Amino acid sequence: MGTFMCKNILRFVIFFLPLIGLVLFFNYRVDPAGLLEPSGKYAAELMLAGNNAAPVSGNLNEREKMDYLLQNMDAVEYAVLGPSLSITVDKEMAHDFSFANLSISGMKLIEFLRAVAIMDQRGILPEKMLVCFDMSWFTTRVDVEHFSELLASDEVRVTDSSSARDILNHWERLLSLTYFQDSISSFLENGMPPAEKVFVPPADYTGAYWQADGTRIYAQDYQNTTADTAKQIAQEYTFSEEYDGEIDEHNIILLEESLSYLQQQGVAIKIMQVPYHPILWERVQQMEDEREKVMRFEEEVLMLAECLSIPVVGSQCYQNLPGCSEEDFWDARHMRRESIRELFDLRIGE
Amino acid sequence: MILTVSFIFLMAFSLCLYYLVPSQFAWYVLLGASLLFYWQESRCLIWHLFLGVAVAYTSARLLLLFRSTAAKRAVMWGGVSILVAHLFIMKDLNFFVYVANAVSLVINGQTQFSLFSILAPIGISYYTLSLIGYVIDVYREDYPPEKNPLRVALFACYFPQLTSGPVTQFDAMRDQLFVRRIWDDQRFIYGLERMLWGYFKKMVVADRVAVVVRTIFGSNALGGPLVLLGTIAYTVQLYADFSGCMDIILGASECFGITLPENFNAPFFSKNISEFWRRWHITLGVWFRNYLFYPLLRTKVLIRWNKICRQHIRNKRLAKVIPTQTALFVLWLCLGLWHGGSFEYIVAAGVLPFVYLFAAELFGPTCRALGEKIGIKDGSSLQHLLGSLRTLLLMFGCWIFVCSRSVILGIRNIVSLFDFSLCIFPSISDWNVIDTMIIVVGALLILLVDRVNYKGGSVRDWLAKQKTLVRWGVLWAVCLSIMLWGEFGTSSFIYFQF
Repeated sequence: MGTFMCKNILRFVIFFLPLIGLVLFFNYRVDPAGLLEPSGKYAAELMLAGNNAAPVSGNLNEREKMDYLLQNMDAVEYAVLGPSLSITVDKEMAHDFSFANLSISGMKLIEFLRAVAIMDQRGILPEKMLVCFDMSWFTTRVDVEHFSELLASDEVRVTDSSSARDILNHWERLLSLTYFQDSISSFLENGMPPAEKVFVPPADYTGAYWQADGTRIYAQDYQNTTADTAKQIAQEYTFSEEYDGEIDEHNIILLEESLSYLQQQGVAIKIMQVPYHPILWERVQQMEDEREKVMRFEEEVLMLAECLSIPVVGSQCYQNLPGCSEEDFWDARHMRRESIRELFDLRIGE
Repeated sequence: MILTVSFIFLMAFSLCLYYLVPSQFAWYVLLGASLLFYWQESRCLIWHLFLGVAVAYTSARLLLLFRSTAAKRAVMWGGVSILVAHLFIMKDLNFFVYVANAVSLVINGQTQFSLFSILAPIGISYYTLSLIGYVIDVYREDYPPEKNPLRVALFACYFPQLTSGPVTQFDAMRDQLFVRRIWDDQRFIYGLERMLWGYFKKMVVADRVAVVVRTIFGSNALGGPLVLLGTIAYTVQLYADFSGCMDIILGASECFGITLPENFNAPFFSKNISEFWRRWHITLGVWFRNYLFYPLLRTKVLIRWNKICRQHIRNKRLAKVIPTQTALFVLWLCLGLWHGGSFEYIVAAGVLPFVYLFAAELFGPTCRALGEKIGIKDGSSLQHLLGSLRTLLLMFGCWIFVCSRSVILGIRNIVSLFDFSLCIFPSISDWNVIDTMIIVVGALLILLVDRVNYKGGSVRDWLAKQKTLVRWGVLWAVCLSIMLWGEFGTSSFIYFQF
């Protein structure tokens, strides 16, 4: 039986080896989201050297980028923290010379708190901070214990590439079949990418990239999205998980405490609220649960701002933002860069 | 569950242990793995399983102690009643509260009862049926009761079959679970191949077509073509999902050298509705036939009813048919209830199949005679083809209620089948022609394999005879299809909910 088993196990291994090899090869070489190589770190290094950074695949590990920037950047006068809603805010909109946009797609409250903690520990808290809230900040409960552990450690590091968890994540990603499907799609669409994952884009570059100050410049194709396409996207938009949970008082208190702490440290804060696409807003109004949650979120933000005397610019409702229309959106949630520039006054403390 | 990486790890780990420990301890490995699996899925709800096993074991052991038939019958009824009541409370109690409230609303204008907060443990419908069967078999003295309660526990919770069946009989399982374990090269490979085929059916076909079903039946206004397309899509989804699940379960079990009974045998090639039900969810049908239908026919009430019918109905055929159909009606009603405490399941899996079978019994001979007159010979291929199509259409009638998720919506959708004014297909994001092709090719492949099985052939035997390169080529192709087009981590099996 033993010989039979060994023979079969060997056969089994030989059978699956090419398949596993295929997955590893495509996931590693194509890496469509830039997760497997320290693309975030490479991008951050370029940005810290004053260059723009373009990932070959259009994506990179944004959390890694933010971490590396936070660990190595010098103090700036004006910083932006928030999810992708505020990722296109640039120096010009802020009217400041020393500027960093540290927003990342889908930023969570814990990530915001960590970023603040790192800046505080390193003594690089900005003079002015624009904060853009996301619904998930209020609904996904922050594990305070975990956060306290992080704060208590000598060095607050969000990702440590040598940690066991990270190595495991790395292998999970390398062997992930969902990622393999994305890799194959990307390969069929764009061919095999060059080995260098992040580069300094030329002046006429039309792909997505990050400016040296951390502002995200979307690919030209995406920037050219028509109002009709945006409208259609808004019609088909499905609400993500953040709408599943209930608004959590615990998170609001945490946020209030952290903003209050920032104020005590002399940071002037402004809150930015980005509206929903008008079509999506009307859809939300027709859905009882979502409407209730969105309205409560808006109320809580305003109360928090009032309580701490923080100015708020914008609103979730497009009607509260004079001049805002369907033309101002790239998709259901994201406003055009030029519309943000036109409709929002992002100056702080002037 | 069985689609997760943890299941694969559990399988691999228990397989290694199973074949490495001395033969007499092999079943302990299975028991440990099964309890671990169940604990992982149900946590503290595992006590329901222990309760079921305790009731069945005690009832069976008590049957040995009594000599008189009356006492034995009382013990058997006691055990079976507790098991049935347990299942009923877990699965159907809220349905009856709902019905009582509806009645109360009509009579008093207000609801009177609040729904119970019940969380049914996974697989309760399946293992309870197996345990009831065990108690009845012991009562009938088909085999002696098992001395070791752990063996009864393993019979109830054997992990590959725990969540979705098939419903098994103790003697058939005992002869495999507790005998000397033998490593069989070929069976092990067959098992893995079958699991692979199951994953293909589920991940590539069923989960992809589920998007179409959800989109269509999630729309507000449906026209005839859309309802028809949605129902066809649901048929593909249901079959690929359920039979895929069975392939994974049977394949996994085969790896341990344990053959579970088949649950499907090419149902879509059935020439009539009665044959369809003999080929669809076979073990459930067999269970209800053995433990409900036949005993019902032998009850005093049915015997008396039979006499009354023979005395008062002149038409001899009808007089013979009605008592049997009465028992069948009870059987189908229970089957409908078993599928879930909701009206759409009672209609789709209970009332409608009964109506079809009753109609077939009454009008079958006339239809055959009519067919002969217009040139469709009995037993001809044409008759078979038309019969298969008719069966499929009738089953669409059942499934339309399930995918509509309510009887009223089901009736509305059946009515709108004849409305051709609305033909706008709702858009599905990220859907392209390749998705459609994958579904069509996948469904055709499943049908092709079924056709071979229906004709008495076996694809896996054919595959086993091929050269290694051809065989591996086929298996690689299946693996690659799953890797490239499989939907990962998005769903559960439809039959888990039962």
